[in-house]
This record gives sequence, C-alpha cells and structure tokens, in this order.
Amino acid sequence: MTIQINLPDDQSMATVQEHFADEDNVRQTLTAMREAEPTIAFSRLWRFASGEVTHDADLLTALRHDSKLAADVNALLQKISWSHLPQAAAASTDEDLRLRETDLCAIRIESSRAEPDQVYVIIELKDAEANAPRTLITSAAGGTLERLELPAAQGGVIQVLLQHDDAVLIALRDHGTEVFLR
Amino acid sequence: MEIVEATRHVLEAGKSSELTALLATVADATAMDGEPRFATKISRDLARAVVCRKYSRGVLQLCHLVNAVDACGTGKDRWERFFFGLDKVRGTSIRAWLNEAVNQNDWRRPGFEISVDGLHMTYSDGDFVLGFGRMSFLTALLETVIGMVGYEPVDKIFAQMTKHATDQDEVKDAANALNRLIYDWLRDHLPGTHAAEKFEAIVAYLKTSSDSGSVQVSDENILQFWLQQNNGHADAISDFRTYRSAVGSFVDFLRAIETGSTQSMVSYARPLGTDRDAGEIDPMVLEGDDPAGAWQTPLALLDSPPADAIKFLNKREREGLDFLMDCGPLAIDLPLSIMRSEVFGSVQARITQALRRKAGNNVVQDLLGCADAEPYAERTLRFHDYEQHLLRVQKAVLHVLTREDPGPDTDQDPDLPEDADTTNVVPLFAGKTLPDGAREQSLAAFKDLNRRGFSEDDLEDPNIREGFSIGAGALVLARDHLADYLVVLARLQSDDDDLEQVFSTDLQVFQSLFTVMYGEKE
Repeated sequence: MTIQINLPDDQSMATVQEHFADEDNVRQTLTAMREAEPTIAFSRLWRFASGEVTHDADLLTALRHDSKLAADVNALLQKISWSHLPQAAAASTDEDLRLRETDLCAIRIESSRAEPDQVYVIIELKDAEANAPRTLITSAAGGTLERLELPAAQGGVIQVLLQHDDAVLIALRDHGTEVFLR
Repeated sequence: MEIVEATRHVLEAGKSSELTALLATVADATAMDGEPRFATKISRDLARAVVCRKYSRGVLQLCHLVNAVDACGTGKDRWERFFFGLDKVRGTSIRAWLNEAVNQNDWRRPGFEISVDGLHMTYSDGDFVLGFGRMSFLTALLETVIGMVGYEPVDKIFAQMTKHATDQDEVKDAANALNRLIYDWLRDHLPGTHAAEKFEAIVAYLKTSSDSGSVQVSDENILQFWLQQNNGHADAISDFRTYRSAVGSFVDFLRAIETGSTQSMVSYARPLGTDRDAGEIDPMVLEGDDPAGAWQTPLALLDSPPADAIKFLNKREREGLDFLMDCGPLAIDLPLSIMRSEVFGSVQARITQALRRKAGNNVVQDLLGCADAEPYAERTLRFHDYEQHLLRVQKAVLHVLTREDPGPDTDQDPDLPEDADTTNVVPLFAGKTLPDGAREQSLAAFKDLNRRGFSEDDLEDPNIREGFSIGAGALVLARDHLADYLVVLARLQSDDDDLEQVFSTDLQVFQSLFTVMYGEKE
C-alpha cells in the first residue's frame, strides 16, 4: 500500500517542519523517559518536611548526594518551621557548639552529671506560653538530615537526654548545621 | 573479538538527560498507597508542553491557582499544602480539597468563588475561570518547575504575587517571571535534537524517487530508508538507529504534512500580554488544541481520570496495542511497518538492553539472530486475542451501563474533567432493557474480568461508573481500529507473498542489519 502526498511549497514546508520537530521532540522524550531513572519528586520532599512522612531512607540518601535537593529542603523547612537556627558564626568553629539562639528560643547542650555518656539538649522558649515545637530537624552542610521528635514543654522548657554519640547531637554541635524547630 | 563500537552509541542513547529524568520523576511520583500520583495522560501532556515550549498558558493558569489557594489556605505553606498535600491528584480530589478549605477557613481575601466546574476569580480588571480538570496538569507542571529551578525562586515569585494580586497584571507579572526562569533552564537542558536533520533526510530520500512534488510513502520505502541510514557503517551515528524510531518519524512526517500547512506558526515562550508590538503573546490564544479531526489514540482516554481507575487493559495488552493505536489510520496504510516495529522493533529493544547491561556475548549473538522474533502469523493471532479481549470488556461495560441498580448517586454531578474529550462519552442509560441473551453475556463478561473496577462493590463508586461511561467510547474506537487493521492483515495473508513469506524475508533482512549494527567486529 502506498500513501501519495504532494510536498507543500517552501513557505508551508517551514511550518510542516516545525510540527515535525514538535512531534519528534515529544516522541524522543517519551521514549527516553522509559529509560530514565526517576529521582526524588518535590511532593515527596514536602511530605517529609511537613511531617506527613517521618521515615524515607531513599530521600535521606538522595539529600546527601544532591545539593539542589538539599537546598530545596532547607528552604522549605525554613519557611514552614516555627524557628530556624542558621549555621553558627565561622569564627568559633574550632570547638563544639554548646548554645544556639534566636529571638524565639535558645538551644543549650549540657553534659549529664549522673551519666557521663549522656547529654541534655535543652530548648528554652522565650515565650513560655507559645505553642511549643514538636520536632527538631538538623540539616548538616553535607546534606545529612536528622529528625528528633520532642517531648512536651514544661514551663517553656523542652528537655531531651541523648547518648553522646547520637547523630542528632553530633549535628547540633556542628557549626555548619542548620536547625529547624517545627 | 569484542562487541562493536556501536555499543558506545547505544549506551550514549540510553543516558537520561536531566530533563527526561525530571519528567520521569514527576510521572513516577506515587501517592501514599503506591499508585501513581498523576494520571498517565497528565505526564504525557506535561512532557509535550515542556519539550515543545508550550507551557506559558499553563504557567499563567498556575499563578491564578496559586493566588486562589493562597486565599483559602492556612499556615505559612498555604499553596504548598494544596499542591503537595494532595495525594492522588485528580479533578475530584482537588474539588474536595478546595471545598473543605473554604468551608473551614472561608476566603481570606475577596474575589474568589467555587462553582460546579471550577474556580471563578474576580479581579479589578476582569474575571478568570479555571476548571478542576485542568488543575491536575497544573500541579504536575509546578512539581516540574520546582524540579527545574528550585523551590526558593518559585516561592519568592508567589510570595510577591499573593501580596498584591488584586488585578490580573500582578498575576501576569508572576507568570512572566516564572516563564523566564523556565525558558533559561530549558535553554541549557532541552536535549539536543536532530529534528531538522531527520526532516531533511526524509524529504531528501522521498524526493530521490520522484521527479515532481508528489512523493510516495510505503512499507517498503520506509524499510529501505532505515536500511540505507544504518547499513554498512557499524559505528555510523544515525538519527534513525531503531526501526521503530524510523517508522515513528515517518508517521510524524505524514501527520506534520497533514496538519502543518493549515496551522499557524508554533508559539514559543514570550511575555504574556496583549501588546503584540512589544512581542507579547495573548495567553488566551496560545497553544490551541490539536487540529479538529486529528487522530488521538483512544488509549489516552483510558489513561485519564476517571477511566484510569478501571483496569480495562493490563500491562501486556496495553503495550501490545500502544504503537498501533498511536499510529491511528496511518497503520492501515502502512500495515507491515507496524508489524515490523512490533516484532523486530522488540528484538532491537532487547538487543540494546542486553548491550546496556553488558550481557554475555552468546546472549547478544542469539538476539542478533532474531531467534525469538515472533512470527507475523503469531503476532496476528495475538492481535486477534486483544480484539477478543476488547470485545469482552465492551460486553462488561454494557453490563455496567445497563444495570438496573446503578447506585444511589446516579444523579450526582459527573466528575468529568472540564477539558475531557466528551465526544466519546456514552451516557449512562441505566434501566434500558437488553435482550435476555445479551444481558446474560454482558453479566458473564463482567464477572469473568477479575480486574480493578470490575466488581459490584467498585460500581458503588460514582467515579468508577463515570469511568465506564467514558471508557466505553474509547473501547469502541480502539476495537474498531484494531478490527480494521486485522482486515488489512487478512488481505496481506491472502496475497501471493503471505505473511509467513514476508516474515521469512524480513527475518534475513533484520538479522543481517542487526549484525552489522551491533555484532562483533574482527
């Protein structure tokens, strides 16, 4: 069977060629999409940042390898958090950080006198009547994210006891880490 | 001995660009239950809008939608909660979300109203209306745009817009700012295409066999074209490496000839507005739909809500019919090109996959010999099986459309997307009587189909019933097209060179070229 066609004049041919290019681009893209390896959609990032999903190992791995994704999650957390504690000043990076402070709260790190392997993380709210945050998220410069569910505040103070090698504690002590309270 | 250098080209071709990875990410995004977040058709429409740079109308609509959800949401992340808090993004879930938000919070700013069909926005300089069905696409578009340019710049644009958006100029400014970001990103990320070279190669080839402006396209000259493009150069870089891509390009060429001369120039992303002298484009006249009468695969309707909630076709059936349905009436004029694509195109795909995963030499050699190529007669039988399946599904659909108890919500407003193609919609005609034999057959067909959507419990859902109503038209179109194609195959079978003979000849042709393209070199 044969299809007989009359080729259009040069002017119309230019339009035909543009249509062909569109169809060709779509066909190539749809074909390439079948072979492409999907990454992390922003909706998945939002679910994690908003607390709708609390465990997503693939996402946490991807954050360590994808600086753009890490920047997105930091910007999103900054917007939706109750308080954002940015990276600490560079001048004091030679020693572990023991105090972080914003106009809403202060985070202090204190060793336990009773248990040498344990450390207190104390969050003091400057307005004791304020709605207290429920989650602490640390975002290290390398993209590593840690999450800690917080107990209820007592008189404007939230106190958590962590092992000295707890990942959240290590991140909190690092000057390059940003902290988000939600 | 080693696999030829051509392997390198296969590997190159298999690499995903950042754009295709991003589009695949959005297409692959899942809801909490693991089902796709977006309907398949949305992902295809999104890919078309982005790679053809026909996104500016969508971007403008997106900005209006952001403005509206900002006006009825709560918290710091008002627009994010809408776009990313929605689990399965469908017109029905969007409508439910908006209604609930307005019921709980009312509008924080005046000028917005939810109607039966969508959102009505009143600005100081005019109205803007947006249907629920369109919002699924806009959600996917936003997810893609953030994947391109990052969250922060998008959030800044929206924050600026929602502070002052009392007239449409503010919204257009935001849309223009977003368009500029997308345009710049695409400038660096749209994969290089050889569309112009491909087009010229096809035209030049067709002209060689014609002295006048009249040229012919046939199964044989498509095959010869593909052979010519690839033969004799094991490591030649051809724009038509796969046979299927060559056939696809001819289909695209014929369609472009058919529609191109009657349509105006393609629009590119430019500032939105009505000042043509300033190079602005009026968003309401952009990106028209396909020309009237242009073929659209009926499977696209089955991929769209609400029909996509019903498993009319399983994966194998879907894949087996996809190319035939995509080619539409051209398949009737180019039957062997379709058959060759199905059979030898699949072999070629397996070869490239084997090379990509570095399969053993013996595996590749078996594939090059086309040992597992499905003979045309067997492939024809498979098409017959699909036709019979479509018939069974049609009978089952008839049961749904004529059942006596359609459920309590028959009078409920159908959740039809506002941009759905309603030409194929079969209205529910519950209570219409069928002859006893037909009723029994349709009931039996319904009960036999143990698939999603085909249970009496599923039919309690008005969306499922609406899905059957819409799917019915697509199934009729698909089966008619398949039946036409089978008639042509039957005619070929009765020729002197029947399908077995053609297959035998083709087998040698493809074996030979695959060996040149992918085989060992001394």
